[in-house]
Amino acid sequence: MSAPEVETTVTSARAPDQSAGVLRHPIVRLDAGHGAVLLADPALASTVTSTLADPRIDAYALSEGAALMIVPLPATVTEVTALQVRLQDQVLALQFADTAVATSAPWLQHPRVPMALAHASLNSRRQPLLALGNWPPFAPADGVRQVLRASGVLYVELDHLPDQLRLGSPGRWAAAIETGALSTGGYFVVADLPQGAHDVVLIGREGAGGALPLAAASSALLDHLSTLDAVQHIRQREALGRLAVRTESAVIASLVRDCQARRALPARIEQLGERVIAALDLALPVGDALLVVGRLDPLLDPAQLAIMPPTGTPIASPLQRLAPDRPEVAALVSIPGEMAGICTQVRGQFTAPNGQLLTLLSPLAPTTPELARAAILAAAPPVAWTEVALATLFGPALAHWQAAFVPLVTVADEMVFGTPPAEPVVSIIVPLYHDYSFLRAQLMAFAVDPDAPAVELLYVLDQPKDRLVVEQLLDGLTQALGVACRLIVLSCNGGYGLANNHGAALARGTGLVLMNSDVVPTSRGWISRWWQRHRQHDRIGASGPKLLYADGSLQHAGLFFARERLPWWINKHYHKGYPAAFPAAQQARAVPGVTGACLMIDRQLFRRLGGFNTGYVIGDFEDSDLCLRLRAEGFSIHYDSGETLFHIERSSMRHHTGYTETAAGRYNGWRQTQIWGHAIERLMADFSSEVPA
Amino acid sequence: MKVLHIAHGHPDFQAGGTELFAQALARHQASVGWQTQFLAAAPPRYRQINGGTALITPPSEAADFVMTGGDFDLLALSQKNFGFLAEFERVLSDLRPDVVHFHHLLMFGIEAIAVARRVLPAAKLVLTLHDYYALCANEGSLKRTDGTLCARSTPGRCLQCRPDATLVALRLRDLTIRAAFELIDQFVAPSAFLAAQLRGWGLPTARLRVIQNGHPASAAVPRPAPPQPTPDRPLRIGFFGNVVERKGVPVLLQGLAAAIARGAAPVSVQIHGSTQFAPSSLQSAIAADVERLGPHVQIAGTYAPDDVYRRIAGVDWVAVPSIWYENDPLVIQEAFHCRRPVLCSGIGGMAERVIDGVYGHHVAPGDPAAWADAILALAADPSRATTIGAQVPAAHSMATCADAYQEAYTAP
Repeated sequence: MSAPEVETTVTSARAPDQSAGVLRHPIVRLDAGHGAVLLADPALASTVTSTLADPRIDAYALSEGAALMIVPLPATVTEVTALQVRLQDQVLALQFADTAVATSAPWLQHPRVPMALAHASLNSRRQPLLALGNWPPFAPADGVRQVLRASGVLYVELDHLPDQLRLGSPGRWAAAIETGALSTGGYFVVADLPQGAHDVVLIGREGAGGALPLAAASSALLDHLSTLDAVQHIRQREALGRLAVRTESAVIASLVRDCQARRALPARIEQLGERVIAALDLALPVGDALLVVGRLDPLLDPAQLAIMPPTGTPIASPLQRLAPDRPEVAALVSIPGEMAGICTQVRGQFTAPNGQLLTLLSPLAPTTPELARAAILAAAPPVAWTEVALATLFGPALAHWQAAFVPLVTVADEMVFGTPPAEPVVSIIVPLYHDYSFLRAQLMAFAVDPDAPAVELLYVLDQPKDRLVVEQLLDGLTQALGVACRLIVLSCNGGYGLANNHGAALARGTGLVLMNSDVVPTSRGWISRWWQRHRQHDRIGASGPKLLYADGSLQHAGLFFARERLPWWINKHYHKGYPAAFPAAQQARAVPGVTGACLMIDRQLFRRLGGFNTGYVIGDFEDSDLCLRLRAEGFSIHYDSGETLFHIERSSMRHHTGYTETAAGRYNGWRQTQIWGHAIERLMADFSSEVPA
Repeated sequence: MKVLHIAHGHPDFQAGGTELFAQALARHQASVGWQTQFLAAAPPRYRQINGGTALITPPSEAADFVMTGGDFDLLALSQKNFGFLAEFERVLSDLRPDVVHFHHLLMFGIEAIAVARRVLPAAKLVLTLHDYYALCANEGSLKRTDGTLCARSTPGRCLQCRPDATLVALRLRDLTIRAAFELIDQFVAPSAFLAAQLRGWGLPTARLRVIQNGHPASAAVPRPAPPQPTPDRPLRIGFFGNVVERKGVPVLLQGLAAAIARGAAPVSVQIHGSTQFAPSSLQSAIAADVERLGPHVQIAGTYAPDDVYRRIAGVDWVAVPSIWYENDPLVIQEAFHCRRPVLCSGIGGMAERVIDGVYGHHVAPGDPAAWADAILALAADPSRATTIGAQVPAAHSMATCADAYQEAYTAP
């Protein structure tokens, strides 16, 4: 028999009171480290509970004047004779009438004993909870309005919120608890629900708490949260967000995300009449970062706008204004832990100069890559897409979502009209999007061209919803005119680069001509003549013909790069707008690049290079990028003045003067310079010696 | 030889010069032992009236093919209805002619040329251009909407005439017509003037020839004696044709009014022909002129094609005051057949047919004062009608015309 560790030195002058110091019931082992002692005598119980000064011992008043003491009890101890308890002004010596350590006792079923034991565990801050096998029955907690549970989350609404609140069940306490006030009065509590929890108790300091009626708990947590008023709902989901972050629980994170989607709160902006004072226009996860774009009146201080993502912790840095031309536009990127993926809607809180508290809400972030990409492009006006903004905010965001988008563009269907040549020499790839009014002219030209038997015409429909219209048109025209073509239908609108890449992958010709849908030939035999010249020199990687606008002026006679107002290289065409007969445009020659509106390249070469770079968004700069890649491999680019076609260019926006001012245009241009800036500089230095006449 | 003649309309519906000539050539070739068939399109108001087919029999119950329906885009010269083209294809496959002779592209569309080439790879495709539809987006008239005559057609200039169209549509029209024309083996122009216009536009000379339109009734109807004006009645000038804007009737009437005001010798004008195709503004303008001119003008009303000779024989001069480049107006042939001299605008095919001073006189087109001068001169010298009338040539015969076409059909 060894003495309990608690034995302290007897220092009291007062002699132990024999009757007070004798405990009728033996110490009861609770678990490997704790024992319970019943103080049945009211005077003794009262003395101990009110003057206990020993940090290793807990004492709790039970009803009828009794008290319970929880004492450390090493597992190896089997008999306890005496116990010394330090009080404020004395040491109490207690003796056990029955010294053997008991393993159970009837008085443990006392109604208040479970709460005392739970508090002991709370105070000792130990995990796991005092293990008793089964919990003694707890009384039901007071003031519980409802209990909901779902996805590893326990949700409770209460009248009162106990201090030092703990939630737990046999085995463990909830690792994290978040609380908040209810707008209807009362409080809510969310906690990660212990695995397999079936008896959950909620306790606080001073004995508050009790068992939670889990049997009645509904799993309609998401529904309940959706029905709350907006303010309440946001408060609760942010609490859930904090819970998710603290527990690092993917399940709770997913619940937070679902909350936002289900409630689908509309965006909230602050306006003064027509003028927008403050708005959060976009909150979009980008990998493990969060992009936030908004507007803030130029006179207001961004530091006053606190942004709260659904993870429940405000973003530390303020929005940064992007451009002097549009000072109201501001954005930031933050890394909200690893939970960026659940941040589909953020809240903004702003103190107006008059002291009024304004609340903003961003629109719900889009869920698909295509919509996410569109949202980024629309989030801020093009002038706000400065070099810095592109490098730090929009560039990485677009790169991420474009990369997510690319694999979604696949070939959905393939059709044949008539009998195309089985082994064509050249395949013409024509992406179709939105405007099909040129098909007749293209097919008519094809119908009267002696090259037709050696040429495969391959249309790629980049707007699958128009599939029926295009099918009917091609069916009728190919039959009437006696031509053949193939039609590939994509799964969604992929853009110029992807449409051409998919077409090229299915093409059979040795050579490829990538042609816009609004390009119409003017002569017969143009393909064979051009192909012949293209192949004359091994080192020609790509070549392009003379293209004219509908009025007969020059649209393209070779492509070059220039630095103008924007801080990156833009693409331009030689002699654009000049009369078709302009002398310099009649000269076939090496050029920095050619337009993708009508471009000839060997199919295997195109394939080897991986086709167009799919990092450009929507369409543009893929053609110049391809030419730069060809140059990097040692090929030259050739302007073939011998063939002339019309490039009507009414419908395609790519070469509109307004295009370079769009967000996509700026991104693509910036990106090209990011990748090829130095190469372009050297290239244009080489070409500048031959100033076009 | 089996020939299929295609026109944009049937004489039963509207007896225009092109339709009449196409049908007449077909009849003539049949009369000398060829197998011919005439195919026409019905006016748009004739939708499909026979179940399951676009074909109908014309009102005269002649054994001609008439196709209804379709969806024709006038600006693009395009037949958009694939069903119509499929029906056209059916007719071609069943008939299997050696020669497909298009007299127009309206209603059938330039796609029809491609259909014909595809269905009958060995057949000769011949296109007679009776007007300027291939070059001109303003009803093929080469007359600009500002009133001037068009010297050179381009999509940009067409846009000036047709601001309701777009440059893109006009450019595509031009490109597709040129493409379709690659499939035509032989082009025929009824006048040297029209041939020159086409060459200027870029039609390859090697495949283009000039064949005057033959006149159908030249053999059947006896030629009357030249006009014999007498002092007891006014000099009679007759207009024959559909009264539409570009035929220039107001110019003639205003010239007459001015001539009378300047004290012309007795002269009157007869207007023979239908006004039903005239816009109401034109009809009211003419009515006003007629009102003012009183007994000097007679509205003689519509006439059946065969009746024209009797009516022409009842005038001394035939006036052709058209304000556009008439190519080969039927009325000039009819006038020559009746030994009547012609007073015409000095442009286009009119000027080519009517040698100035020999077969008639030229007048500045659209110029009422010039017409007044001309009418004054003719009224002052009635015997000139007899002199010139005696020397006008006979109408070009269908036999000669058909021979020339036979050569065209068999050219390599």
